[in-house]
Amino acid sequence: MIELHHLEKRFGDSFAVQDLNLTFPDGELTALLGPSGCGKTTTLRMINRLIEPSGGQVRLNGQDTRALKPEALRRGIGYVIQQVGLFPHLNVAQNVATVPDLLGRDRRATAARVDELLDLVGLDPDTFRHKRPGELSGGQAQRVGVARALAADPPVLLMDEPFGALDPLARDRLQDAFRDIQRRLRKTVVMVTHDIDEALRLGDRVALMNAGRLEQFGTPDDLIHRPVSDFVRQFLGEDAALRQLAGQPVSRFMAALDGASPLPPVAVEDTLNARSALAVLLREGTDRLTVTRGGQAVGTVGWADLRTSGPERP
Amino acid sequence: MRGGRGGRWAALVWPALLLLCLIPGVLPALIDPLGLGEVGTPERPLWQLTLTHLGLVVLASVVVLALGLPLAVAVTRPGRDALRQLSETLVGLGQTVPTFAVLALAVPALGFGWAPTLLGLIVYGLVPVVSNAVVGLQGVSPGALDAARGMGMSARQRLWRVELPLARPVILAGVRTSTVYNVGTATVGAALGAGGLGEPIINGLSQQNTALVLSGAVLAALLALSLDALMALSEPRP
Amino acid sequence: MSDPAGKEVGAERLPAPSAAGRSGARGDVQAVLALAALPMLAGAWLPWVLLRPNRLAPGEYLRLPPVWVATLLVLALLPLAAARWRSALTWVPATLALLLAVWLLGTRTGAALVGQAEFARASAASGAWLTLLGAGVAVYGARLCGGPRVAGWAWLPGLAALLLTGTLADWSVLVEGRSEGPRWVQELAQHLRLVGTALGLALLIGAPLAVWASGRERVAGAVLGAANAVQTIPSLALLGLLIAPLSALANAFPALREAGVSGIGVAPALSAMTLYALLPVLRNGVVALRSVPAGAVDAARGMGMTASQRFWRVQLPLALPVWLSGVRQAAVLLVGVAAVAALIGAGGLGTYIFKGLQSAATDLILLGAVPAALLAVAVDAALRGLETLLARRLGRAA
Repeated sequence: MIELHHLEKRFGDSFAVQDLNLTFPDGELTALLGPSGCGKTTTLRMINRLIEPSGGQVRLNGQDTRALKPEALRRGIGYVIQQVGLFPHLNVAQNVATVPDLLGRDRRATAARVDELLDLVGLDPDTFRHKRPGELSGGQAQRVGVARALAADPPVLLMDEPFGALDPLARDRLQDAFRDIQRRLRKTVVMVTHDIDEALRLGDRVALMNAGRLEQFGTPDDLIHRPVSDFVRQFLGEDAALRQLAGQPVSRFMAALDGASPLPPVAVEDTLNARSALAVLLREGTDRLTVTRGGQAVGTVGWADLRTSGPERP
Repeated sequence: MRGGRGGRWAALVWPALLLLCLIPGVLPALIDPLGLGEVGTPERPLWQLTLTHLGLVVLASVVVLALGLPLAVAVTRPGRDALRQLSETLVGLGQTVPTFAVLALAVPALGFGWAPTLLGLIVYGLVPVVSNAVVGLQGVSPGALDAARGMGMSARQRLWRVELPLARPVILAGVRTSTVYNVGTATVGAALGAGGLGEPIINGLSQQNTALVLSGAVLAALLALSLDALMALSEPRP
Repeated sequence: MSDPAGKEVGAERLPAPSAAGRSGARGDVQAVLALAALPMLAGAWLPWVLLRPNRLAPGEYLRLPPVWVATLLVLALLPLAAARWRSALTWVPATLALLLAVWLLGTRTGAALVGQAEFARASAASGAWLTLLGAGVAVYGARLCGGPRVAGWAWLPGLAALLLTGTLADWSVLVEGRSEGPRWVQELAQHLRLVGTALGLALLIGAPLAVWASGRERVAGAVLGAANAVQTIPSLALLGLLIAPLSALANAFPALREAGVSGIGVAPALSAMTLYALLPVLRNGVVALRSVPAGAVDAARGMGMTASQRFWRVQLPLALPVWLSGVRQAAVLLVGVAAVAALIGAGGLGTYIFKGLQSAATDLILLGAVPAALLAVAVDAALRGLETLLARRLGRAA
């Protein structure tokens, strides 16, 4: 568990981060969201002491991080950045093995671990082990970046705009891959992003920051449906609910078949995203749609279902 | 790389110091008290040697520009890769072979005096000009050239309106390097009897007169620094 | 993942020449060979040997016998013809032309000296020089014509064989060199010593300074500015400027004088050379260290590397290829400055150049200038090879 207590960072007279109190729950992904300059990256970098706080404290599993040597602290925390930061003079395997090497782990065990991790992030070890970072595409490089951060099996992962530099297609794929990885590994992840869709899509929780302060901390639903301030509402935008729908399949919203009422004439596949289902409702001028899976009706969905806030979280 | 914030000041300070040192009597008055010997009165006054030196360098630079730029343009036209490679190889060789060796090798062909020095200055001065001009012309973005072609410019128009203006900063930097290094090369030329500011240095060395050496060295250094600073003004500021 | 790899813009290589060798070479390659033919054609007609009763006296110019003129004329045009019809074989006439030119220089100088007095000298004249130049360019052009890669180096064993069998023994420069003998070897060693010591000192001072300055914006600016100014100053002037303070030092402290510090000789030469070499070492060091990708350094920090681990494991390996090219520039520069340093009594190959200039003895000039030039080329090639090797091993283009 990572706890921030009255954390602050001053640069000269101005506060980059001010009186920040926040607890990142174990095994969950918390998105640190906010406009640029809001202090989210500074906050992230204070957790592994790449930036030293000017006041307050960071506790990792109850222990004040100032009690640790910064290098030792960082070796126990995975770190992924937007520029990826692979070492161009080392091959993929050597890059992934960096932290285990620093920790003095057994070489042979590390080699096996590298293959396992490359598999995990969706890269064939035999193809990629000996490649140089210069031979990788942006998406492949960031997969290696994620594998490298996971190499020493740290309980905590810090990610600074990890998918920010990728083209939309690669970003989508990598977000999906990472969501699967996270579902299996259940790391405590803190991910900085300015991309609302990414935060809503990947975050179990979202911490929205503004001007160095925490604006709201909660589940994506909390922020969309129960914003605590005008800033939250404005930042997420009028279409925040739509954006959230876009990230969910319509099957999450459908009502079960009751067998009594007739099926609506217009049908959609259950894998269609909820936002498109809404568009179909509008286009067809109807109240309800049939949801089918492989041609079989499995439920129906209407305006009211899509408006409810409560699709269960994965 | 060179220049920087102090660039404008340097363009004032170095030439001013050079002119000050050229006023008859000033340099001996500065050096004689050091007790290293007497500057004395050389057969030719220092200002005359400085002019000879400057003349050699400027003349060489003019010839270098007149030869080097067309050469660079010619070898960077499409379909002349082999010629470009040849010129790059020769230029690289020129950069590697010691200046003094180039000058000395010109003596058997041209005898003593200013002629072998001028030849050496031209050969050696061509190196940075050609290599920079080739790099500059090669570095013009294909997008800009494509756009120019798309607008209907002829090859000649593309050269004059797009390629040369875009390559100008790199070419000018090459001319500057060439000129400044040639101030140094011309100093060595005194050993071939070219006159110039190397003369008091070499005479001073053979007569064990450090004061004389110092007078030539100070002036040569100031001349190089002045030209460098003045030519830096023509380069765009970062 | 779909990333269009938009690299290698502007670095287009020549298309691989056709392996079949039946087709002609490209037009621009033929132009290179035509450029090579011109000096060879002129050289065949011009005088080849200058025969003088002694090393200083004026002499008479000798031309080639008509048979050899004809042979040379044919060999001058053959590479061009080969490139047109059988381009993979162009290297054969080009290599032959070069070797024949060297052999002719040897045999013609030998023939000229038959029946002459002991002090007579036979040196190469304009025809020989032009032919050698043209043949060199032809060999260069032939390498662009295809054929086996090693063929481009076929001239090397041939030339070595000609030299080892003493073909050129009567050429005036080698006669001069023989009479100098061990002294020449000493001067060459002194030249190398001067270059090596100055380069070592420049690295010893420059490398830590570059590491220190690279992290500090203003310091880097100031250090590079100062080093730039030093390099602007003519080398001869710098030698001159250093003589005054060093001789003053030696006068003031006799102990220093006994340690070898004085106004002339090795001490001021080494000081000037070290100052001169400092700029490339510093500049490339700072540039190289600064161009290490910030992401890699940040990642290294985030992964828990200590400052020294970051330096040795990430920054230095990534900076090394670019840095080394600065060391190469410094080394090449030093070979040249060392030649000038002979003027203040530091020794080296420059000694022969100055001696030759003073006594108007061309052969002495060549005895100093040609090896100095070859030395610079060799140093450049060796360090360039090391750079490529490192760049490949470290996975980054230099």
